[in-house]
Amino acid sequence: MNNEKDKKLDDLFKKKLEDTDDQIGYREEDWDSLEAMLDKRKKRRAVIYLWPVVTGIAAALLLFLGWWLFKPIEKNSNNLTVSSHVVKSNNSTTNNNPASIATTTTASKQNDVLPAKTHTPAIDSSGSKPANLAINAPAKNSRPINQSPVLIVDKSANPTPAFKSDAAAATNKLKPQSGANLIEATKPATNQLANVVDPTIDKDRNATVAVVTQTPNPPTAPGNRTDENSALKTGKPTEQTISSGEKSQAAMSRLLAGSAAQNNKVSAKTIASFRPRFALNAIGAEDANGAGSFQQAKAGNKAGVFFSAAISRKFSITTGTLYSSTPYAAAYGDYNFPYQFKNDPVSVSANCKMLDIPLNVGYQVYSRGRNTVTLGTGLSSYVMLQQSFNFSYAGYGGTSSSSYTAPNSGSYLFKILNLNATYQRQISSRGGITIQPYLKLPLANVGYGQVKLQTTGVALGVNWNLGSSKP
Amino acid sequence: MGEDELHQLLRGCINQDRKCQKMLYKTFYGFAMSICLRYANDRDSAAEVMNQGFLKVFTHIESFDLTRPFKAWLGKIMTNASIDFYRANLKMAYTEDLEAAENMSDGEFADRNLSYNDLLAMVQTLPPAYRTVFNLFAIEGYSHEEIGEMLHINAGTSKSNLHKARQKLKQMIMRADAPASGSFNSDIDYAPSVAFNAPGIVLNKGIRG
Repeated sequence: MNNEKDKKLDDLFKKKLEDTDDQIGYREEDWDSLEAMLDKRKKRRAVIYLWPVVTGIAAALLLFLGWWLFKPIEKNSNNLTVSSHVVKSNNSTTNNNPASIATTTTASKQNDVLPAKTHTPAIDSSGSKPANLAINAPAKNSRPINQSPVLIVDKSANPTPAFKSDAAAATNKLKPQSGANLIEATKPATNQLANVVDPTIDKDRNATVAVVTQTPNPPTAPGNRTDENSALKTGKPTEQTISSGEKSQAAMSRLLAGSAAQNNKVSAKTIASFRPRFALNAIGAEDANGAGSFQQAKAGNKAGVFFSAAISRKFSITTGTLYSSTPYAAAYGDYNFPYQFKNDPVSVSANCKMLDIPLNVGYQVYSRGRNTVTLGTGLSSYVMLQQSFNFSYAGYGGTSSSSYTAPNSGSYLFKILNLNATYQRQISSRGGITIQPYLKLPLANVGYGQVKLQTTGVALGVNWNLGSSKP
Repeated sequence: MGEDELHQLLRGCINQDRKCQKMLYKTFYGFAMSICLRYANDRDSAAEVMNQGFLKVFTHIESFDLTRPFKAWLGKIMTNASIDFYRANLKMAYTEDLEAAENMSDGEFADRNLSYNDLLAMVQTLPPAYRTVFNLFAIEGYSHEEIGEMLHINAGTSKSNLHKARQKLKQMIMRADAPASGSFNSDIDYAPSVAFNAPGIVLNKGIRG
């Protein structure tokens, strides 16, 4: 009975309230508010779609920078290997005359040539090495043909694209002279070079630049640059080399400044639309360090403090300071010491105490509950505090060693590429713990030994949220 | 509106064409609003809920299967939007002590001359917890088990709320029938007629199991 009445009540409402389209008048303001919601959503989606573009550009820029900075360095290390080979075979007597390029034109004996192979730190890192090679090589009476001028040809056949044709010109000049009689060939070959060096003939002068420019200085050694500049003042072509080197250095800094400006723009834009959150991070890290490769990796450690600012839900910027003790070892060929050894060490191990100052951008790829995973990249600057080296020599009576502590050899701004993944677990609203595997790849040679120092490791740390609005 | 015309409109909406969106909105405004009005306190909050529903429609329109009836899909979205709104405003949901209504005598409801607006005003007067269950059970046809799942309450609470909703509605119909009590014609008119609205209210959460 009661059920029936309930049913009747339900039916009354169902019948009258269902499908009563015509009872309700349309209100334009309702559509206006929905349209506003649709527009708002569209704008937000546009911003979201823009992020991958921005990050894509940043990544491409970073890749380009990496490639750009790597290229000359690789070339340099190539030449270095060859030059050290020559030095070894010469088993040298030293002569500190730096201005010998022009004076070696009549060199036909080994001793006459050798003065060009100067052993002062200034000259060794200079761009004139291939020129010296060109003169040295033919003078090597004991060498077979393929290590005479042909050696130069091989090297000069690998110039930077801009100088390719000039270099080829130089090569052509040298080629006919690389004939059978080495002693006879030496003289004309060096004469050719004398012509090349002659500043009065424009075309040839360009050729010299081409040859000389094959070993550009590592951009990281401004100190050496100054020395070299003063030491080589007498050689006009070398001055040209320096100026072209400076041009490329200037171009590089412009590029870096440009990218920095772009980054600033992006972050300024982002900061304008999001309320930033800040966090402080204290970490300790164990890592493996290798010069050139991880084949002879040695364990090092780091400790320091990071400051990070979340500029959006996904993006954060991190900077800080890490004290780093970085031991590494490598074959002598991987180094580029600013002085020449009488006897080349077999291997060199080193320990660098330095400050690592990273500037990284992080993108949160995963966030669930208390766990977040962030992928990061950026550039690190190294400030060297102390560098000690231990040289091992192979002698007749077994191995011997000597050590040397280099003075503070300055800082290397943004020369290391950082790649990392950060797992963060929130313990409380105030903070949490962090585990961060990382890889540091060199964009340039660093340290007194000018090595490509690469590092991989895991950092553990704790983080505090600063001024978090959430309880 | 013909089937072809509707599909053309829906395809325009898939392409995010604002004109097609507005036409679809206008076409189904009455239908959507009629659902939202039943769940809401008043027309403004009903419009707010309806717009949330249409936003879902426009942003998920590509997931709609054109071979299925659009009106049913839209109705489901509007009901869900109303339930979401109810859940989001649970803190505001009070239920009333219905002692007074328990022993009311039942009359013949179908015979009474009550308009759409009268009945809507009555439903809107119900506390949200009763109103939602009444809508879902009496008008949409869901079972207490289904309602329990949708509202995150148990089936017993759903039954209890439905019973209380009916009691209240009966009360209101009786009052509407009385000569001095006025009618349920508008949002403004019915407000003073509900004499037991203020006293003896208890928090809704207390009733739920």
